[in-house]
Amino acid sequence: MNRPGTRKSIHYTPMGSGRRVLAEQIKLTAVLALTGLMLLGMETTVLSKITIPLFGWQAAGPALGLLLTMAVGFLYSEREGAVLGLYVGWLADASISGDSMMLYPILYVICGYMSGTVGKRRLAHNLPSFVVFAFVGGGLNLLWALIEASAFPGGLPPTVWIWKGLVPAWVLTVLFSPAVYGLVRGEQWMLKPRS
Amino acid sequence: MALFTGVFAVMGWGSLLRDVGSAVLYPFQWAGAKVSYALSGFGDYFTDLKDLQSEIDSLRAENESLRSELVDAEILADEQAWLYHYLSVKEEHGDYALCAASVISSSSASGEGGSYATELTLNKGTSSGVKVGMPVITPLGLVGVVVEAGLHHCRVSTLLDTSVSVGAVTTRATENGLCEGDHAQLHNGHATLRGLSEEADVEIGDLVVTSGRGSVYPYGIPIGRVVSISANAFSRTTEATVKPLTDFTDLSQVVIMTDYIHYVDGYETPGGDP
Repeated sequence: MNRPGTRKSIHYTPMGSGRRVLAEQIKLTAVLALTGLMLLGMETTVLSKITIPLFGWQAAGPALGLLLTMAVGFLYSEREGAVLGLYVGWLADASISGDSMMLYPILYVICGYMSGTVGKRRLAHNLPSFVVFAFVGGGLNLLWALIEASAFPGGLPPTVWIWKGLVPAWVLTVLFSPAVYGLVRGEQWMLKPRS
Repeated sequence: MALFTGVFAVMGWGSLLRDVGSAVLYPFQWAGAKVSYALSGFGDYFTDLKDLQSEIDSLRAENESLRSELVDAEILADEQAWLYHYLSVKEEHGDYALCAASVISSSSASGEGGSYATELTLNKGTSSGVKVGMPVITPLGLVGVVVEAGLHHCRVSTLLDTSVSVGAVTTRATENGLCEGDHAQLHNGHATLRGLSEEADVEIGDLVVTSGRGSVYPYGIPIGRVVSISANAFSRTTEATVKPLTDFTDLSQVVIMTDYIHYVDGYETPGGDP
C-alpha cells in the first residue's frame, strides 16, 4: 500500500490492477469531484458572508477549494492533489470571484502537488501537520491574490483590501482546515473496501 | 499541468473554460445561495431583535421624558386654571386688593372625605403687605383669616378651625348668624351657622355668605350651603350645618385680601382696612 520513499501511510489509496481498481478510481474521482463542487458552492455563497469581528468585512471567506486540494494531496498522493487542484482551480476560476487569466488552476495544482510531496514527506501525517500546511497554503493564496492585484491595479486601497479581505480569508482558511481534513478522511474511510 | 492551464489561457480559451465551469458549478451555487439566504434571514431575526431591543429602550426613554413633560403640563394647567380664577376674582371684585399666595404647609383633621385643613401656612408675609386679620379666600369662597404674620410667611386659621367665627348671612332670607368651626362637624369638613333666631327662615340649600359684620370680612364672600338644620333647645336658637364651598382637602393656592371697601349687609361703611 505504501509507495517507496514515502512515510508509512495508514490511509487508503486505490492501487492494484483490474476492473476493481478502475471502479474504485472512478468512485473516488466522482466523490472528490462532487465534494469539490459542494465546497466551492459553499465557499462562494454561504461562507462568503462570514464576518470576523476583528476585521469586520463580510466578503471574506475560507478557501475551501484550496483546502480540499491540499487535503487530497496530503492524504492520497501528489498526483490526486494536482489533478484535483486543476479541477477545483478551474471551478474556482469559473466562480463569481474568479478571473479570466486561469491563474487559480495553476495555484491549486501547485498546492495540491506540493502537499502531496513536501507536506507528506516533511511533516507528520496528522491533523496538526495539515493545519500548518493549510496556514502556508492560505498564505500562498494571499500572495497569489496580491500578485493578481498588482497586475490589475485599482479598486480598494491595498491596505484595506489586505487587512479586511485577504487576512480574514487566510484566518478562516486555517480555521476551516480541520473540518476539510476530517471530511476527506471520512470519505477515504468510506471508500475503503471492506473485504 | 500548470503550464497546460497557462497555455489554455494564452490561447484565449480561458473564458470558454470559465463558462463551462460556471455551468457545472451553478446548481451548487444556487443551492448554497438558498441556504445562505435562509441563514441570513435567521441572522436577521436576531439582528432585528437587537434593533427592536434598542428601539424599545429608546421608546422607554422617550416615554419617561414625555411623562415628565406631561406632569409639567398638568402643573402648568393647574396654575393656568388658578390664574384664570384669580383674574376672575379680581375682575369681579375690583374693589378688592388681592395678594396671591401658595400654601406651604397645613394642619388638618382627618375625616370621612379626607383631611380637612384647619390651619395653613402661606408663603406671603408682612413684606407683601399681609397683616393679622386679613381674610383669605379662593375663587370658590372663604378660606379663613390670617392669625399670624411673619416677614415672608403667615399662618391662617380656616373656617373649620374652632377658633374662627365669621359673621354670616343667608342670601335668600338674610338671616344673620355666626359661622364657626365645630369639633362635632370636623370629621366631615362642615362648619356650623349659629345664632339664628328660633323662627329663622333657613332652608337646606341656602347659600351662606359673609355679612361684613365685625370689620374682618367684607360682605358677600361665599361661605357654603346649608346641608342640615337643627334647633338648639337650650339657647332657643336655630343652628344650620354649612358645607363650605371651598375644598379644604386640596388647597394649594389662595388669595389674601389686603384691602377692600367695607360693606355691611350690602351697605358701604367706613373703615375698610382690616
